[in-house]
Amino acid sequence: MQYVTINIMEEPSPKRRRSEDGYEESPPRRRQILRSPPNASPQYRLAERPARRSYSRADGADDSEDALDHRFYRDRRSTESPSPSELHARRSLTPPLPEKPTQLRYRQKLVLKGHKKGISAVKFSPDGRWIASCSADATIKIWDSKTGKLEHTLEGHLAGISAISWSPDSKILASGSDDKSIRLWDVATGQAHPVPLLGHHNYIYSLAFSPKGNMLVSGSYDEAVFLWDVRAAKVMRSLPAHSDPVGGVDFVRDGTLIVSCASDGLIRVWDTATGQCLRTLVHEDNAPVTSVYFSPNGKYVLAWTLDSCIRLWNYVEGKGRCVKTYQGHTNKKYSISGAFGVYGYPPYQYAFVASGSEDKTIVLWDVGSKNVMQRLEGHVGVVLGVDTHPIEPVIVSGGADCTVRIWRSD
Amino acid sequence: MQNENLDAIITEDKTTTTPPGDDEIHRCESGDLLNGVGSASSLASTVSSVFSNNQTTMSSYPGQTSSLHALTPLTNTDFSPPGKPLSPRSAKLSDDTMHATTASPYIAPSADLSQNVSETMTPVHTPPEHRRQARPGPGEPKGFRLFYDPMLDPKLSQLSQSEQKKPKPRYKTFGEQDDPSPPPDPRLAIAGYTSGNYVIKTGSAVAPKTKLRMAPYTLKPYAFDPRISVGPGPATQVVVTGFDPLIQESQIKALFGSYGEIAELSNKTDPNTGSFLGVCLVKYRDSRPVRGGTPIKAADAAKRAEKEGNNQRIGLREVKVQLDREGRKCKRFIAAVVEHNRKEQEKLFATDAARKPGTPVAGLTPTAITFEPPPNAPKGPSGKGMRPPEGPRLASLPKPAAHALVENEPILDKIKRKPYIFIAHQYVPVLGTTIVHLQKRLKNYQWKEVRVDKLGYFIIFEDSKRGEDETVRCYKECHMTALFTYVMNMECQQYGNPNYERSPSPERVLAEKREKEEQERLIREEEMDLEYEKKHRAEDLDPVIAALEYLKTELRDKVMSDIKARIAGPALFDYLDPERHVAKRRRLNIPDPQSQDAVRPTTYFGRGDDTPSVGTPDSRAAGFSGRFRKPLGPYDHNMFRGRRMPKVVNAFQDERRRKLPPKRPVVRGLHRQMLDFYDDDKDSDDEGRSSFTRDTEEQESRPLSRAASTDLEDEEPSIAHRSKRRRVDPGWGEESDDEMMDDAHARGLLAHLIDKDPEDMAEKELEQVLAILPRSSPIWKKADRAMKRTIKLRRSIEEADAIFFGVNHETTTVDRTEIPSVDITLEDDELAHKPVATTELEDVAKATLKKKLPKTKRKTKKQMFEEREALKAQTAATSEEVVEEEETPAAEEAKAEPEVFEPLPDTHRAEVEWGVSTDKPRRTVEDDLEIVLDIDGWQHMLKDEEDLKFLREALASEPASNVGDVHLWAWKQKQIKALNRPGEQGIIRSETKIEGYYVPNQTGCARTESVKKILELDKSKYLPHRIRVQKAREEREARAKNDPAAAAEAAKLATAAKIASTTSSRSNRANNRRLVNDINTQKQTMSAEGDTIRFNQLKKRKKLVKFDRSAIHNWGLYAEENIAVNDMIIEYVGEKVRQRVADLREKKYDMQGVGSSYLFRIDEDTVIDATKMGGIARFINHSCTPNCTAKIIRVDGTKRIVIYALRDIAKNEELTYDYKFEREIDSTDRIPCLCGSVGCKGFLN
Repeated sequence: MQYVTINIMEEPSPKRRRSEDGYEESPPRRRQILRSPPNASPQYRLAERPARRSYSRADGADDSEDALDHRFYRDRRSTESPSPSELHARRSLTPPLPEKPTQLRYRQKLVLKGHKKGISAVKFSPDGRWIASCSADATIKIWDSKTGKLEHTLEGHLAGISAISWSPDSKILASGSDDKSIRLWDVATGQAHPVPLLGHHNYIYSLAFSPKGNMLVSGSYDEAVFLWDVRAAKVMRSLPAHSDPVGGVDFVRDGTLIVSCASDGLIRVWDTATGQCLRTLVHEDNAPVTSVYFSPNGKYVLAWTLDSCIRLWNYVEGKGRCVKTYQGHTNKKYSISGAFGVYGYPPYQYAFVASGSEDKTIVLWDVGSKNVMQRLEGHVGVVLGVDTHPIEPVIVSGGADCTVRIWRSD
Repeated sequence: MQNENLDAIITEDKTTTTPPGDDEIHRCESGDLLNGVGSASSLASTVSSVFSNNQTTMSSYPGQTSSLHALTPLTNTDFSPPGKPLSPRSAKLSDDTMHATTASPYIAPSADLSQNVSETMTPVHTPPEHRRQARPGPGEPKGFRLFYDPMLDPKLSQLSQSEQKKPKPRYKTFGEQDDPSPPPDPRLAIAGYTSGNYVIKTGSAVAPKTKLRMAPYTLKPYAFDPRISVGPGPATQVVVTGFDPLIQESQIKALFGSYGEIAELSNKTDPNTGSFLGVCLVKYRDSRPVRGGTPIKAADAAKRAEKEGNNQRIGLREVKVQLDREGRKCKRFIAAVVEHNRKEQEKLFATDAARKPGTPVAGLTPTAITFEPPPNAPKGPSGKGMRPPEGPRLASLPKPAAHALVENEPILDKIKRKPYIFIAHQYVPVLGTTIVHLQKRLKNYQWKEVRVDKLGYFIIFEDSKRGEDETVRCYKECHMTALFTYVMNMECQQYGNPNYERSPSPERVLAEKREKEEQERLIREEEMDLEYEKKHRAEDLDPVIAALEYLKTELRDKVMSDIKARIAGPALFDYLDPERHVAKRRRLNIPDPQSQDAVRPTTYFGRGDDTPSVGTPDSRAAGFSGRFRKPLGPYDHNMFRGRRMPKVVNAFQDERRRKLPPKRPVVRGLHRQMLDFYDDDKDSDDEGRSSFTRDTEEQESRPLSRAASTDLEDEEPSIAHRSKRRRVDPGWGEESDDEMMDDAHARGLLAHLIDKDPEDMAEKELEQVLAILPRSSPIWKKADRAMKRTIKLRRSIEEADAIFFGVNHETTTVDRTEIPSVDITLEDDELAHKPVATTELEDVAKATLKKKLPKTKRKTKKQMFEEREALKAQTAATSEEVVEEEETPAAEEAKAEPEVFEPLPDTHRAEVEWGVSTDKPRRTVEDDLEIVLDIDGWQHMLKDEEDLKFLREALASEPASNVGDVHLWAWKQKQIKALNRPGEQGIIRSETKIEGYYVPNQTGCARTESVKKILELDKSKYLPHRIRVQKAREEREARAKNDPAAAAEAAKLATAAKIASTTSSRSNRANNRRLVNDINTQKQTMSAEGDTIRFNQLKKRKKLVKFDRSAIHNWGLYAEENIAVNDMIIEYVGEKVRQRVADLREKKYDMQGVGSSYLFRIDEDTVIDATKMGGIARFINHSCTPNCTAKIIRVDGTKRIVIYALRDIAKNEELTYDYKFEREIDSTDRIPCLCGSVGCKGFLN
């Protein structure tokens, strides 16, 4: 095993099953999905995933902290004795590693039309069955992710919707609108919960469900970050966060941390339990931060800034360090978001970052090498939201051209 | 069984000394043993210990003084009382061996017991009777079985008559063998169950959570609470006695102050002489909690004082402390001491008187000794009485005469325990002179005395071990030796007189006696106290007295009211008649009253009581000022009664007595009853129920505690307000909504009554309503209350009438109806009353009719509309249909509006005119233009086919939009509406829109919009904390506008503050310079620490501050302590850069969008930049009227920015200073100032 030196940047760490950070499927995992009952809570699988993903490996050793990160999984693997033992043996005999792909081959499969105004966000449900898209026309549409069939149109907001978030069990969708309310929707029936979450003083700008589904964090134009108790529909905690609209919020995979970012250029990491600000990540230029996500392994923070950069921050180390910067897209004005994804086949899987761009494309970077792997062209307007399927190699995107597009890699 | 028992006993008795057979017999005979064993086994709590105990009890038995309880009557909880049969709980301990020990507590122990007991020292108790048990005890036969009956014997009949010798039937007992003993009590297996000493094992993992309560324990008595407890509380004072009267009070205070806070300490003095008596009364009070301490109650303090203070030393003596609740003990003490003093005084006088003649009394009383000089004082020639005690062998003792030495009284009795040697007179003749010889003869022995009486000589030795030894030695060496010619035949008694029975020493007797007396006295005093209390109680509780008291008040009330009504009232009115005072008025130049009516008393005088207090200023003058609650409130018994009674009853309530429920007003004034009579013939049907039942019902219907208050509420409305109250009371509707409709029937029946004010109904009517309604329903309660109110009201009115009409009848003969007093006529008679009710009824009926009509209408409309909708849907399919959208402009609608003329009459208004208008077409339906035209609005607006047609025409120009399924779409729209307007349905009159601040985004939502910098001005429109400040400011501005003087003053204040700051800053600087100099000089002395000093000198003086969100700007700095004016608060720390760098940075920051400026200019070419690196001083916000100021001071050659307090700053106040930005009047994005202060200039720059 000594030769297995791994760069975690290229080897995506275990992913939390969150709607916004889907990744490419891998055959064994597909099997797993098939095995598990359809309504099983994803959290359980979450716990298993590190072990499952233990086959993954990569080349190129450059980042020490990543190596450290990977060792964990390697150890786990050795104890757990993975299924392809013959593979293991072969590998130890014949070291040559397969070439790491330099390109991705996503093709546009479906174009879903129906929204009357620009689409602000698209999200795969955590079980991968649905795509939710929200739009400035105050509606949310639920599409079948396989066939692209429109399942529901959720109406009830009085103004455009900026943010949506799936509950981890894929049954409830939360939406945050310009009408200052957050609504919860039962996806099965398409009905809104009669009691909205009220409390913000301006547009809701960002939303995220906690991994357990009991909390909801929302960022708003009123510069506040609210932590909601979903069941009681009440604000649990208000985080005195920022001095500009809060563009992005996210929970870490175990729900103990919250990250928020705002146009004032600050990214803040909070302790969910106490509401304490644990870290403030600032880049020199103070460029407004419009979106932020935790990496699936919870060790990094990916942030979109309006200087056409996406930065990967290691928030654990010191005061927080910018580890990678992804460039190649245009992002000067809009609050664009994206997602982590996975490519390659099980033993050799790597992570990529997908993001929309103002030049009407979707850009995919390799996480480790920062190379642009693919540019997906097809949209005729700014691509505002991009999400990856939690299992399959599918990407969904939505933009100002009022279309939702589904891209699939063969 | 028998064998088993025997075996058991044998095995047990192997260890004992008694032969088993013997024991067996004893056991069978007496059962005494068993009792003893039983008690022993009950002492031991487990089976095993029973076994171990057997031995001892068995062995104790054979001795004659066997019975355990006879020996020591143990009255432990563990034991059954002696002689009583044991509870049968240990029955199951009885497997075979156990039977021996526990077998039969049922066998009477009596005879043997008393035998045994007779020899014991303690007197025997009455022998316990053997109680018959319901079931026979173990071992006892349960019954008899006949196993041979001669009557049934076949052989017997065959035998000849002679042979028949009448064989007797034979019986056999049964049940002794296998007595099923009752199941054991499992609790007995718990160690210490009976004693309550059960230890809960908390250490183990499975520690029980609940506490096992084994032995019955006493409840804690309720603590005394002055609010609720009856009778005097626990004692709060103690009486202290036994200290030196001359001791200082402070010493007492010091001792007793340690037990609690002393409220009063009175060192009692003799009333005659004013000298202290050595009796002190210490009264405690409830102490307030001192820092960290808990408050000590006065009673606790007193208790503690008694407990701990007793036998404490004050000065040289021990004091006695006793609780003394009422100070009675203290009084007694004082009396005793005073009496004692008096007696002494008298004695003293007596002795003085006796002395004067010059005959000194030999035996002075011990009290007189105190007047003697102290024993060690130099003796005068007459100091004879005080001879110091001398040893018996003192040489200087003058020799008494020989014959006198032979004592007359027997010495033996006096010797007691002293060792002595006796030489009988037979051996040595009794001679006084012999003593000296004997003494000489025995000089080698340390005898103490040699005495002689008629019996012989006694050589007495010291009463000690040594003396005893000496006696023995003397005896050994001198026995049968010669004294002169005699032989000293000695009798040695080294232990003193053998027959001497020790009796207590006189001192002890005395002490015991005193103690006993004291105790007796105490008991006596206690009894006296009790008696006293009892007497008091008896006095207070005597029902006769109470009744008398009550009667008195009632009678007085009645008499007073009678006087007022019959005598005083008429007289007064008569007197006050203006016509009588014409002359006086003329004389005093007072104009005539306007009219007679003005003078005429209104019901105001009636004051709701049945005792109008007109003109009696003395008796119940308080009625007008203090007790005057309402002008015409009905008489309230409870209020009246509640005040008087408790005073009498509560004083010393017997605690033992069961607390009575609060007294019901059983006793009612006689005049009430009379009134009832009076009422009866007037309107008997209204007063169907007696006053008593009414009262009781009232008590039931509401809780007592609330009775008074609700009464007050209910009685509030006066006659004058009655017309107002006629509106429908909303309370009815509300309450009826709340409850489940179990009284739906009653309500349906009485729909018209429910909404009517009950006052307007006849009582009878109401009563009927009440009868129908279930009692539990709130409506019933309400109605009941209301009815009572009316009844009361009416009664009071009638009473008032009675007075005034009475007056009128006497003074004038005007007819009732002609009396101009409005109040009376309105309220009084049924005639005036009834019509009102009936009209009301009609109104109500009308209203219900009205209500019903629209309802049905709406329904039909809905059906119609549904049909229409269906039709619409069909037509939509043919594509011609126009479906109105939400976006349909209102103008469009307005255009369509006038066309909706309707020749057809619409029936949904009550005031519809039927028939075609004759003159010109008139609008029959007034469309409500305020209705929002969503689907519900349209559905409301369009009444029929024709409407639809018109609308279609009007909207013909609009392009049809595809909404898919029309029904679904409509349903969805309604759904959306319902979501956003929770609880509202149907037509609405206000647009469903977003509440509060909302500026729609151009593209539709925030995220599809490009990110723009938000102007501060916009931010203050929606940021909650800013809105708050903004509001405060606007308010202030508005106020300033109204009151410019105040604003000017505020501005003046601000400028004054500024001036003050400059002056103070000067002195400040001076101070600073001095400080710096100090530091510098110090630095020179200890050069090594120079750096640290420089580093610290500003930090040292820093105040505690924190930053938090601010209303002024994002963040602000807040004081965490109170800061005095001119104090340094914090240094503004940052990078020191040159001007040019600062300019560059400013640009960069602007570009980056760093909203706030943290650049602070020190001088021409130096700027401190705290943007990236800097202390928290940079968070201090701007304010136009700041509480701080920034100063540039020179510290150690470098310029520093330091923030100083401009005024006293309280904790948690936000720190601000004036940024002093350059004014940029024309700038586009001026920074608005949000400081919210009085003198705010609006902008920073």
